[in-house]
Amino acid sequence: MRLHRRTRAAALAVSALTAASLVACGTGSGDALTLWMYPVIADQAQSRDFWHKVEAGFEREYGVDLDIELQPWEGRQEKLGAALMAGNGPDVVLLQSDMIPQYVGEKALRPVDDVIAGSSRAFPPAVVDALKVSGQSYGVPLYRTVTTTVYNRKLFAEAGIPELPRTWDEVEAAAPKLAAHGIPVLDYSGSTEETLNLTFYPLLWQAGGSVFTADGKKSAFASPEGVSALRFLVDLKAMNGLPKDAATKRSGLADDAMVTGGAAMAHAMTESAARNVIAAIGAQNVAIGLPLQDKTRVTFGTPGGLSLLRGAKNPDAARKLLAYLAAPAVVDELCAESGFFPPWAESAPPSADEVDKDFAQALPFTSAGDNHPQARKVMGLLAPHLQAALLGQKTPERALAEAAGEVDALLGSGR
Amino acid sequence: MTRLRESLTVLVFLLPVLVLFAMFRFLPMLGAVGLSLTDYHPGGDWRFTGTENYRSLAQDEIFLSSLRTTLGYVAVYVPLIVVVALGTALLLHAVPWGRGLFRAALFAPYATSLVLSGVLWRWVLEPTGFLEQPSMVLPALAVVGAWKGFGYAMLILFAGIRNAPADCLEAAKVDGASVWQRFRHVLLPALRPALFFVVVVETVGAFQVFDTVYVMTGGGPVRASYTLAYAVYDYGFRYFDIGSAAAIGVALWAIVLLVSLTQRRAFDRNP
Repeated sequence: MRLHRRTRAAALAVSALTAASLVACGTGSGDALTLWMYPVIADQAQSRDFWHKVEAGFEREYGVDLDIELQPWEGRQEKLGAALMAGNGPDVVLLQSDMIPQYVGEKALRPVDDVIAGSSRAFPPAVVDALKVSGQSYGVPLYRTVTTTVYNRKLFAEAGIPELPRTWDEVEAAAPKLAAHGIPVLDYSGSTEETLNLTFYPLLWQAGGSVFTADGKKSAFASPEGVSALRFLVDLKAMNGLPKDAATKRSGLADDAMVTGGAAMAHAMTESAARNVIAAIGAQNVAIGLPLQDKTRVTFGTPGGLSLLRGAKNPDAARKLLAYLAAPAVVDELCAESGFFPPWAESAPPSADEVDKDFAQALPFTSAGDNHPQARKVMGLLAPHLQAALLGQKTPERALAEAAGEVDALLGSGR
Repeated sequence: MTRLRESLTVLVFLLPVLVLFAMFRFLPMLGAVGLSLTDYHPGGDWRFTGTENYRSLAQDEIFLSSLRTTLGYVAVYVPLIVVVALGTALLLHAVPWGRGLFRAALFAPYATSLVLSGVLWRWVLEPTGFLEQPSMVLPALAVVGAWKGFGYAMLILFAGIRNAPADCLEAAKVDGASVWQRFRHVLLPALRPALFFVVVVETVGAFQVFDTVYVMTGGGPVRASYTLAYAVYDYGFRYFDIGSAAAIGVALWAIVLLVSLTQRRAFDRNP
């Protein structure tokens, strides 16, 4: 009998614990506004301090509880998508221009034209347009990123190349001389995990090509320009002008080929990555040039915009937050601390050092690329075919034609 | 009355598992089936599309290629891990001393994080070029998977060997049966339940391979390691094609169920 009582007590305890666990699963996090921010300021402590100050400033001014969650860049798309599907997403999130059409297509964003119109300082049309879909703005510009060509001057000098290559032809001419010293002329990360915005697309644009046709209904990369861009890479690979594992290589901050002195130049490097290279091999060995030129001189650069999620619990308060964050006082300080460029019409480099000045010279040549709802999926379809060409399994023509077949089927399906 | 009370007590003890299974296994499974019949957007909009997702998958070359890749991985991984686990279990059984030490050492990879193992193996394999060659990447992933997982299968088989009828083995030895004959005709039949369990569990796990692919290859090169589970992740979380991702998940479940039932019948027919 005593045992039975104990057994029943244990059973009740088990039931109570189960119920408690399940209740805990459903506990929410309250009604605070939530902003998902990323390491725009690369230094963690500096980033934490800055956003803590912003959080306190907004709460003081508007009396609304704000929670700024600092997320990593890695797995950004996946985490945001999962959170949205779980109905657990933030109210405001930082998005790059090429991500916005996808989220608009998924009906996950609200327009923010009123916030942009109310800004006390003008944004350049190109920046605002990059964050528009079907004529409506879905991102309030916060900063602009620029990429450009970065050289290891010492490696070129050691290979007996006095002039740094500024065009594709000059890169191809330098490749065998550097290869003779065991150095690939160009760093290239061809892993399917990499964004093509920093790898193949700048070359495609430099060749005069584009990813989509003007109406966005078909692919355009299997053009002579696209073939020329891919052939440039394949030819470099054949001359040992790319890293041996270029087809599958992932970029990394610490073990990047430029950081370790394992490659002579990079064609679309961000400013923070360039600073890593300088820290590793010394400023005297690094040169920062304009974007490479083939038919045209162009590189990847994109505005980072703050977007308002459709599921925002308090859209009015979220709009106030957007206006607060996009005010010159916050933006200018953010850009000064992050090294990114302000999104204003007439912006000077955020600080006066040589790296900023060099990257500022590349600013007029930036392109945010083709804004298309399927832009990210197209990258996923195209990247394996680029790998096949780099591995010598397919010719550039065949690789791009097969990728175009897949992409056109996707675009034609209307999904 | 007492019997009813006992039944209720048993039910209450089972309740946590039943509730957790229902909440985190059965309901999500039903949810996935439901999602696979819709065009669902992360923004919350959805529409019923019937079997459209399944029909488009049937013509989706990427899905079909991921199915072939997954089958290829299963075909390499399952025999490999069973042979390695059985071999180490037999060796362990034969070790006269320090068995606990060897068992712990062999089991250690199983207790390590799969992601961590993947990162370490990537560092090991990258210089060899295996991860860059489409023909080598699946065997390389299977070796890593087998290295990571054989400890568990080894313990199951080791327990099976220990439970094998010692008198029969002894009698066979006295009758002049060779080592191979004793293994083939006495030990192996005794190990059938353990082997069945190992083969089924490892097959199910192989069909769901994701972590090592995610960490080591990202599905590449040239989609040579783009498995079904990776396709679910890609379609769902990268491309937000939730309906197709759910349909792939349901297809994966159906395939695993079919293969498991086939394995069961095969084991039943061949004693």
